[in-house]
Amino acid sequence: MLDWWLPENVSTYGQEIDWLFHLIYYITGATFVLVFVTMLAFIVMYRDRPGRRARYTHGNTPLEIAWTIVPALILVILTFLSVPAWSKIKMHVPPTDFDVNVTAKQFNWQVGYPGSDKVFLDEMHVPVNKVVRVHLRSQDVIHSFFVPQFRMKQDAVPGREIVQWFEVMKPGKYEWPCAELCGFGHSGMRGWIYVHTPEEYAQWAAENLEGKGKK
Amino acid sequence: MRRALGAVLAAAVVAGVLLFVQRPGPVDAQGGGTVEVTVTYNGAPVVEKLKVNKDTEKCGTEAVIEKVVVGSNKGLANAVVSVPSAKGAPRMAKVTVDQHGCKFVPHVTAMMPGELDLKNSDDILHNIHTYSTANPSINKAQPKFKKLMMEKFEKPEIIKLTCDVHSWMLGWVAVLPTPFFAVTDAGGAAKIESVPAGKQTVEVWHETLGKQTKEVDVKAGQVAKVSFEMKK
Amino acid sequence: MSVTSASAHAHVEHAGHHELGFIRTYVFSTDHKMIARQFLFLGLLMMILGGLLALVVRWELAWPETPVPGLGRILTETGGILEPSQYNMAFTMHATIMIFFVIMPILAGAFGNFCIPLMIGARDMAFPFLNMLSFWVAALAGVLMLAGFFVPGGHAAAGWTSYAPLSAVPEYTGVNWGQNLWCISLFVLGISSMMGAINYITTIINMRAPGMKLFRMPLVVWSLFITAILLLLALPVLTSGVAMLLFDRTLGTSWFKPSGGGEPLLWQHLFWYFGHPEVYILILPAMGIASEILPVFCRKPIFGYHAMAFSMIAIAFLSWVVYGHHMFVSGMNPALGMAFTVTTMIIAVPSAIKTFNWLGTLWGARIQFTVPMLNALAFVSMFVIGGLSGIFMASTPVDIYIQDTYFIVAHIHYVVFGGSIFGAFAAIYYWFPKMFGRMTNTVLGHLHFWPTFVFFNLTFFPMHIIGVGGQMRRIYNPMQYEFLQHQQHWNVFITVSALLLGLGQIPFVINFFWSLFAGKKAPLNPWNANTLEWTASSPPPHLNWGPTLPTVYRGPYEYSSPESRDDWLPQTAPPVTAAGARRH
Repeated sequence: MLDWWLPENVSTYGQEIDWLFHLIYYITGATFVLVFVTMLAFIVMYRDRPGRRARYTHGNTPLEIAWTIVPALILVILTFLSVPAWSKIKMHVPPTDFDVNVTAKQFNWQVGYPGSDKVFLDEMHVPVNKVVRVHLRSQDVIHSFFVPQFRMKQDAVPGREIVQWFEVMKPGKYEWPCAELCGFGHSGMRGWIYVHTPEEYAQWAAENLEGKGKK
Repeated sequence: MRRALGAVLAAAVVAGVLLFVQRPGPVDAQGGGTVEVTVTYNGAPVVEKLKVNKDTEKCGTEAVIEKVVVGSNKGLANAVVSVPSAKGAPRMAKVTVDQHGCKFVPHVTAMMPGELDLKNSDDILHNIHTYSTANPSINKAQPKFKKLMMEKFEKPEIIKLTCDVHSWMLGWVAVLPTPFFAVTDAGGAAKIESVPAGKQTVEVWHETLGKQTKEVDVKAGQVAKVSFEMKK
Repeated sequence: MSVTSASAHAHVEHAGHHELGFIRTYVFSTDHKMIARQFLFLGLLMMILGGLLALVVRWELAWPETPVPGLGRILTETGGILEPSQYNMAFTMHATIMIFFVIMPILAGAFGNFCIPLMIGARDMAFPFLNMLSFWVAALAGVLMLAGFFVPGGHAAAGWTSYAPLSAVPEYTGVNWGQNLWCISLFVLGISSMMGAINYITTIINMRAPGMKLFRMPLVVWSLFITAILLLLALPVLTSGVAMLLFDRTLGTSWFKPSGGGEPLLWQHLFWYFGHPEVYILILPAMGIASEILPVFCRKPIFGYHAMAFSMIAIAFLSWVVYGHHMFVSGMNPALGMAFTVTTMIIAVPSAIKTFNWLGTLWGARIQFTVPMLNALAFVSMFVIGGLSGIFMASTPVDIYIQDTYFIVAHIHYVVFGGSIFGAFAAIYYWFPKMFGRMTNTVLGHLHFWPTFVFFNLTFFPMHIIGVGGQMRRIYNPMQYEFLQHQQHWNVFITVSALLLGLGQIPFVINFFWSLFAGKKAPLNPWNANTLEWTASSPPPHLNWGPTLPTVYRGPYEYSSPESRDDWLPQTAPPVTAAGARRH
């Protein structure tokens, strides 16, 4: 039920994130139902009634061991399942020739392309099905590059450059908010990422980026 | 009795002398002359265009940032001319800067130390963010329901005015120590009236092209013409 | 080592001889019970302010840029409409006040002070004067924090997490003295916490009554003991951090400002190294309280006493090595993300153990649905939800999406409200008779509990939904974003529920004050509970007991024991036969 609310995913690694999200959702959902049904059952079954005496027990060691090991195993498995996706998304950038520079500031995204002096405010144009390497900087405070439909988020920290990547599978216009409190203009700080077909992108680049030919 | 009278007389004399000394200088129309300034620039106008993606209903889809505005006859607009050497009574007129169409209107405002009215006639969130050294800098949001804000600038200085929500917005507030100033119009002309007679220094300042000064001899009731040619 | 009966006798005689005036009895008291009440009042008063700030935040989210009822007189320039900078201040101060001036004073300050000496059989804390200081230093911190509302530029507005450089450079927020006072207040409060921690640890180690072995201590005392250790070790890091931040703001240092060679992430490391143990400081006492109340109203021992004690120790130990999960997308080396995801998943295990043991306590019980029990049951169930939502965030890839969304806000509130606050309510209803010598009104107790429980869930559960939908934290107008507009109706639903939740606290306020003055006089042991505090009168006198301190013969949860015809057997009841006594 919860996952009906996820925005449509259009990025490659977003699929792995969504898969993990669903897995955890089912595991926690099942646990939730199990615990709540048990609790409600106990509350009803073991409510105080005259003539009853409570069961005098201090615990059950085998049970204790069981309910330590089972959750631990489940959690360890979840950890192992999470590692490959994290490594892929945050620790390795696939080889690509498409770079974009993004410098965040209060309260805009400043976008630039290598080889061009032009600065775009709050808009980025990229081709579909291409690994886009983002060089993320900030010129004042911490902002956060968040594109819900790419399942992408990375804080932009002043004083350093952080390299991130994404690859989008569907052309479209995607909303790009800032996700880290950056001042009174944080609410409303938002850009647009336009994902074009290769032909559309080539046309946009020719019109807008001096000196940048077809990509 | 005599001593009292003497004291009163002495006080009257002292007061009289003080009054004479403090008497306001010849500011009124009879005393001064007019300085007409022409500012020109031989180069090309510098205008940057930027595509706007925020608040497009008010800001439009394109912002125009005019760094150097050149009008007819090579006239340079938005230059502040002043006569810093001349002293006079402060101007009373209220100075206002409006954030309209996601632009600071006027682009350059000149004022004496005192209060500045900041209007937000757009129906969106704007921001007053000033960059200054002598005056404390201001960084305040001006949301759409706060149509008027007032800020004080007490020290003479050229202050940069920006809006962080719309980062192409740029304005300037020149806080001047003298009431004798004007901002050049589209043709590069500015007229300052009632300047005290005598040798005065006329200064021009432009946001991109910098400062220049010239000496001018102001004669009462006459027009003194000064022209500046700004260079890069 | 406990006070010998001879010196105790002399001490009691001596105490009877001086009449402490009003100031020494009610203001600068060194009696742990009075200090406990002072902390309780501080926390409850601040809860009103923290709650109102939350409602202001909620109003803005449901109906952005409309006048907030009641604020017209304060926000005169805009007729009551909240400006974006004031919104930032509202949520910053809501969280700061709730965490530092509500939950910590009530759970650690009030119940730590009240329960520890009484439940281990001590006459007072090890350092009564230091104890008195710890309250007044906290009160001073409270005054400093409140002062920030009245300075030009307004109060701190960089979030309760106060990330640099937003918080380190006044120009970035336009806030000047407000943020400085925030730093100074927390510095002072840190000192208060450290004083209290030293006292609690020393008292528990050194002043237990004869027979009160460590593993016969009630679990609430265990929880407060472990909490005190966390306080002692974590607060100095925050205290240092806020000092560094203050210096960056006022003295021109650059710990966190890149322009001067500083590192913004250093603030996050320092803050969360404190911050994660801090959230366990907030929840452990509530866990202890639940573990205390459940056996009493189940009329059977806590299931797995040793597991409960050891799991709290494990949580405390692990809390130091999980903090990086707040920083997965911060720009910190992603390899650290790998390490922190492992530890974060593991820390869920001791909490799971505790949940199962609470369920085990309910199994085969004779459950009495008193008001404290209802609140304790709410604690257990709401904590489960909060804990389960944490697992989503523990997985680093999922956290990429979830971080800084309302899913986190939902998790936070399920654990601190669903957990800590229900725990606090449970403790207040349970120990009110002992603290104030009066019973609370049961009808009002139900009138408080049920609306609170229902509207709490209606307020915070939908936040999981809008968080998954991508709504970011700390924005004031979701309608500015196209992808959020379709779920705005949830924001309205949440706000209406929150307003009703706020109204639901009125019976509590009425109950509290009415019972203070006109509640039925409390008997010695209204709940037929086993622990030591119920052998002292309601309320206990100065020095808690008469000339003889209690002696402890057994553990605290011997309910429905075969050794007793009653369904309870106090810790102080001498054994019928030495041979039959069960070893603990």
